[in-house]
Amino acid sequence: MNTIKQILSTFPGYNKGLVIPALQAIQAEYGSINLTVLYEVAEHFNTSSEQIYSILSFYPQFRFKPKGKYHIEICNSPLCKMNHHQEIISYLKNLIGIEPGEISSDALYSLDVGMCTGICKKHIRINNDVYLISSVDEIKSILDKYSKETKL
Amino acid sequence: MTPSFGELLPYIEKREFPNEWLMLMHHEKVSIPTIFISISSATPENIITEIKAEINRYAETQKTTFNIIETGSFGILSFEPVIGIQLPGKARIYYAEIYSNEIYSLLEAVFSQWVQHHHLLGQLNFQNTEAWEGVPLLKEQKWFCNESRHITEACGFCEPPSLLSALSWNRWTTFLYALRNIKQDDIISIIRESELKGRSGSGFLTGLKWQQLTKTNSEQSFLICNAYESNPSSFHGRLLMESDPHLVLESIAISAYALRSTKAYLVIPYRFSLAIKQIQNALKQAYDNGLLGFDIQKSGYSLDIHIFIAPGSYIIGEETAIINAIEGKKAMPNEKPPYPIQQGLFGKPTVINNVETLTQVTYIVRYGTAWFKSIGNEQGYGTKLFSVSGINILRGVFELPLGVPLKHIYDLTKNENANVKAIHLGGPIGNIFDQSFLENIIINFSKPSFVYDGSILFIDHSNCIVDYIKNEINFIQNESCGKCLPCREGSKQLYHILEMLTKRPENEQTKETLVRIKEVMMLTELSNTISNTSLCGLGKKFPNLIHDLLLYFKNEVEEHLYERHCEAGVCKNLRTYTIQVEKCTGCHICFNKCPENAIIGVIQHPHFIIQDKCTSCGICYEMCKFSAITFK
Repeated sequence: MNTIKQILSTFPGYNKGLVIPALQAIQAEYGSINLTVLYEVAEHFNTSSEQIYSILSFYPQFRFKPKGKYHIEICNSPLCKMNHHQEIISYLKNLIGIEPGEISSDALYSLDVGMCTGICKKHIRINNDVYLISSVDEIKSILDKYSKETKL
Repeated sequence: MTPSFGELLPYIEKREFPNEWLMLMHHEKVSIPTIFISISSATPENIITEIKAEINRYAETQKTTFNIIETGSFGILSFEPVIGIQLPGKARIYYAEIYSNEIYSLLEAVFSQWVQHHHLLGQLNFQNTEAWEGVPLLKEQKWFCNESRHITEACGFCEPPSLLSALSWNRWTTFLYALRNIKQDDIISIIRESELKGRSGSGFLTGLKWQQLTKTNSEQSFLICNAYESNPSSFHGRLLMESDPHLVLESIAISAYALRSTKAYLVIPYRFSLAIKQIQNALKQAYDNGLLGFDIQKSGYSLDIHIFIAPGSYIIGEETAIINAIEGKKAMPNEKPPYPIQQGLFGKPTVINNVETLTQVTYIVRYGTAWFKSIGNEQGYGTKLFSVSGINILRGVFELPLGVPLKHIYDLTKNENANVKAIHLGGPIGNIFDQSFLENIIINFSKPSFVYDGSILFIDHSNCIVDYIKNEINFIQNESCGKCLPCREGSKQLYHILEMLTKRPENEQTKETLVRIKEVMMLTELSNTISNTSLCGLGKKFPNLIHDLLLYFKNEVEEHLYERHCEAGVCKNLRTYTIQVEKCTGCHICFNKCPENAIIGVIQHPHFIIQDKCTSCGICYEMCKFSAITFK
């Protein structure tokens, strides 16, 4: 894993337009952005750490909380909201006890509502894999498959 | 054999390729069975991998070999994954919604020359191939919109990762031709003459914008291609980037050449992972073959295209916000003037155009103004991509001429169960109409049926319109950048009022009941204040939704307000639950679960709900195993 310094060295500090790509690269490497990197990034781009924090907190891509090992995403488009959005969220809340934006206590699962993917059938997305489901009860067996993997 | 890019260059400049090569690139003649799989964001990687594994399993058991080709999508997302199968000497046959569990039997049927009609889309016949009997032609299908399919003509046929395939669909040829034979000012006057209007929603004349840039006499200028599609019900820009990335890059190159910009930015949302992948791959190919970069094909013109991956937020689509985002600041809109055309990115004049507008530019330069003006009407010429969605509606991108009746789009996409209660045009900053508009409006650059960004959502009777608009306002509240107060706080208040409307007052005896009515009376005033005092287009336009709600759906609002009843049963808090005596077995579960002790009854005898105590939480409805509890 590259250190923050190594990542930042590929972005010339005089160009403030590269702040966002630099932060995106850090997040891609570490999964989330730890607040301790603020000072390092600010120093590199010769700006204040408040400035960097305001950018981080403004854009939805950046997350301070780490993702779970299995990151579950649910589509947020108006069509899905009409159809089955709420049903899946309440099922997951019962099953693993987390709401969108939260991470489970064993750091295994995290849940988010995301942008439309274009699959307008009932589905859930775990990391990069998509599972089409005909009823919400199938979610349990899909998650079981993942949790077995962790135990092994 | 396939010629290299260098060998093709003379043909590119003549804008005519040898027929044999075209047949090879379009796979019109295949020597071994070929399978075409459409790749789009609607077909995730793991599903494609499963399908490929099944195809390989078939190949192993039958001891045959296949050529598997990944193409883009036709644009109809409801059909994904689309599979095309072509046997040597036979026409290509397309099937929709083929998942890994169906592909094996489908291949078996096709190889035994038997046509399976389930999920059949149609066939694509070429010269020297034998047509399948009793299979409709793909291009004659209604949804294909063959007559008006121009900028999406290669979507679904072209292989996005291959430059040669893109060339065979005339990608880059217009740019290289223009580079040598058309002067920059001539391109601008062609666009001015064509009266091309911006496709992102405002309908501003693109040619006029470009002319303004030339008047600034600045040495350096920038072009920003706005592919940030943040309206959740619009997906045509994504289709272009995923299925035809070379067209997008060529269009940016032509436009930047006309504007004498040496640097162009393409802004893509971070969520579009496949689009980013395809565009980055296409960009690399273009640089490697000297289509971009320094001194393109020794013409003296240099161009760099940068991809800016936008880290989210709805407001980035606004033109001053997009500039702030690229400069590395928060994406908040600035006050205008100065307009970006005078003082934009890094203080230099900047042109910002939607990705679809730029692709139209390529087609106007290629086929001329007369061709472009023969489509559409004087309100707006040319074709427009429409993103259509809805329940029981064929969901996808349809390219149709401007001035198309809304009824035509509905007839094209509906299935037998479809019905319409409301039509939402243009997403959160658009308008909502009731069903009476379906019959008589045409989509155009004029009020009331303004085209906006081309997204059309049909809402059916199973939905509550108050709840729907509440969700839209919630979306705005989350996405409002927070710079100006009317939008930030106003959206919050609007959401609060709509939420009250979808709920029953906790205690009918208190002031709350009156406050509920008073707040609804304030809706018009509040939304007028927001639209009059907001800084940017978002704050100015989203209160339209509230106006439309009160104008076209007055009955439904009143039903929620006075009768505390939701016709569609979506607003859970307004439901009235009753227990059907004949179905109730007296299992006593609802009695135990009710948090308000509103259910009375003895074990093994029918139970009853005391309506005064019931808060309509719905727990009993979910718990009942005998479906004895109903609501209205």
